[in-house]
Amino acid sequence: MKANVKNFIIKFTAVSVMFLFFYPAMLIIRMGILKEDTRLFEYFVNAAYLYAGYFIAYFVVGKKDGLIRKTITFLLCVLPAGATVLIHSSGSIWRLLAETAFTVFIYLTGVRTHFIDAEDVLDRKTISIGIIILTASLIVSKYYAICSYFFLPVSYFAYASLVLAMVVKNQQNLDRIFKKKHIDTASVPQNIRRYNTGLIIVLFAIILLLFNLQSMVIFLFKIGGYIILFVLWLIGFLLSPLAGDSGGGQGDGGGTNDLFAELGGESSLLAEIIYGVLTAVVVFIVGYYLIRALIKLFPNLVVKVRSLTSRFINFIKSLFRMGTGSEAGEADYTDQIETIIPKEERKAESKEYKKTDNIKKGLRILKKINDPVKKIRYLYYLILKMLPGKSVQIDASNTTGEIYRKSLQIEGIERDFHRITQIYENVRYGESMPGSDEVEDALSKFSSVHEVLK
Amino acid sequence: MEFVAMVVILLVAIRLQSYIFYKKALQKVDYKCEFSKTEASEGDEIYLVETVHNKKLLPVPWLKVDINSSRWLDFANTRSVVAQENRYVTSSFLLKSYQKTIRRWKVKCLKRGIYTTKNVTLLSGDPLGISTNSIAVPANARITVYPATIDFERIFIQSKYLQGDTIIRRWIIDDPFMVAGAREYTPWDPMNKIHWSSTARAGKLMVKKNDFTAQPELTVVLNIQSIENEYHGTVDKDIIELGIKVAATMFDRALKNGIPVRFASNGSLSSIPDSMIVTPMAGGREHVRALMGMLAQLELKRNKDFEEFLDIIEEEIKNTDIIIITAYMNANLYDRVYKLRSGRNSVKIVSLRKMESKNIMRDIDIYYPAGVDY
Repeated sequence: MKANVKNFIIKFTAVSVMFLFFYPAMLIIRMGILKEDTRLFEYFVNAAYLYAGYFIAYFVVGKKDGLIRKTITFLLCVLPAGATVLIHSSGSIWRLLAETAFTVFIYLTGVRTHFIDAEDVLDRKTISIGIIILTASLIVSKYYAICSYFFLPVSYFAYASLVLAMVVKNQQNLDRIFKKKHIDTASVPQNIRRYNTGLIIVLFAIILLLFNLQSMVIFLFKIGGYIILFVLWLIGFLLSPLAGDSGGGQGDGGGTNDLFAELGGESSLLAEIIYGVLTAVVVFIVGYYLIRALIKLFPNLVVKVRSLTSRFINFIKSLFRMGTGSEAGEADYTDQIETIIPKEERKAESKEYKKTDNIKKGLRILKKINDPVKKIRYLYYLILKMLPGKSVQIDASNTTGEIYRKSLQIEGIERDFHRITQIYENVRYGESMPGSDEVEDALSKFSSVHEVLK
Repeated sequence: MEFVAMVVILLVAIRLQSYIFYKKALQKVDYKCEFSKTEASEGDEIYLVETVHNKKLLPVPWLKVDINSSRWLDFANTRSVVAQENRYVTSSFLLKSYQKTIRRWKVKCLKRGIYTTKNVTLLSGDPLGISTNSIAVPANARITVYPATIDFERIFIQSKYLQGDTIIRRWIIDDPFMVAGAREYTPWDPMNKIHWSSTARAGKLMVKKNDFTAQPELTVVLNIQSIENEYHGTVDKDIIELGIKVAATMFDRALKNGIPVRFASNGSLSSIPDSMIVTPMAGGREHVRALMGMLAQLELKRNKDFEEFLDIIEEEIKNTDIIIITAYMNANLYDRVYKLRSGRNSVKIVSLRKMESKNIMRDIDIYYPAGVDY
């Protein structure tokens, strides 16, 4: 992404965040003055005035900082003001004046943001004031019935402005840290930007989690409750034709009485039994199909939940670690990236398989070794460990030939051990990679030798 | 109360993340910086390799590494600032948990020298920029860039051929197997070298001149002054850099021809700033590499006036081919040249600038720039 496009996006977002911060206050003021609620449409109209101010300043003034151009930009506030007059011309004169004043204020704010740096649009002071305003707006809308209708929008404004403000501050921080003066082309690598944005979203999610820890449990219970209520309502709905449309419903029991009253003139035990049986049958059938449907849905549901969970986990994992051995780079350099987890390091260290005096354990290790070279060497090592058991003493200085000659005193291993020694020498000193047939041969010979030596 | 609690949660969460990254981001982060080679020549392309390893679970969302290098090592053009002799490079990293990144910067060695990056600064912090932390890490990345050699025959021509019909370019060092003639016997000459027929003709003891050329020795004398009265730093650095390249070419040719070589200069080395340079005569790859290393760290500042310097070394230099590389010549220098010749030395001059014909002594081999790019 080109630097100027990126800067524009950051500044545009900063302006939007500022609007989200301060708009709730305007809602309350508007409510206080006009005693009228504000619709969503008006929010978009006001946002449009703000962006209009910003873009008009951008196109009229641009980088040429002249007084005439600036004056023209400010005077062009008549355009949004005129639009407001048109929209509210049918209302009272007070509302018209107030709305026009709001419009001009919002437009001029948009113009002003063009003339200040992106960092100054959303500096710490602005954020602090914004948070105070949002909190105050939330309190007012929560506790004053007259404003309660915008509690939900203000809550959304609060969350949106918070996460966007954090993203903007993060990106501005990266620019501040990495950008060098006098180098226009210097830029923060895209992967750092993306990663930091992801990290900010996770941080925001954690903050949300902390906000809603209690509410989330309540919400989940409520969802469960709603499901139960829905099932009960459905059963009731399906039973209602049987109960008749007496108007009183089945709640007062009048329906059944009326039905059987019509049949027999009075309610009887039989009628109650028939009603009970029918109810049970319907509940059973509905329940059966419902459970069957749920059973059918369950695997799909599990798959979906699992897939969503795994995607979420992968996203979280990707924030912590990359795949191994990836290559990345910019024009000036290339990066080789790998992940070295301590556990893997330990595993790598243990590639020289553990030497043991316990032959049984050694045989288990031998089975696990996949590398043919290591397999042959370990196999030979095990034989060396077994030889003293047959009174063949091996010295550290003994060559393979000497060891073989010493082993000749043991009957039955001569040919097999000779072959193993050959293969071992090729692998150990010839530095050759044994073929699969050689490994097989060595293993079969080893089995024979092991039978004799154990 | 509910909303106040939310604000408190927000502030605490932001502060906490800032604290965690401030305290832990640079912990268990290993950093190493080295050149792919320890020696290179001017114009070579090498790599500066940065290895950074985050050995912990906590990721490092951003890591800034400030590298202070020389402007003559050309790399990271879009993310470096060049100020005077320094190049300040910013390297930016993102390190996830247990992630190791090996970064290779392609570096072009623009100029001879010994370049060292002693320390680098690592800077990191939290994503919101509330707190940052930095540490200095020793890097000790060092590279010796030897001067480039030049195509001497293409760049220089010999003065004695300028008047003729054709200009013949030829190598400055004579063929060691060529018999040049005979010269008068001196007490240092062995008896078996006496040229009896010449002795009979001349009526005095004569020896074969190839005694001298059969075991040639070369002394390269570099005048670090670019103009006559230069008391501080070299004025015309480019011309002396050409002289250094000529010296490097001489050393290279001497190595290829198996000729022992010595280097002398009125400049000084950056590692020994107060002494002039006169090396022993020796041959072989190691010796020539040492001489190249000297050229790499030669300071462009005179230590002694060139005439005085020649007076000092005159006693030490006997029976050798001398190549004087200088940016100017004057009468005093010619006097020294004749004095050196009287010490049974063969003296040749490589002039780094074109000379007026009135300043040329016809009995001395002088090489000029031919006026082509080098």
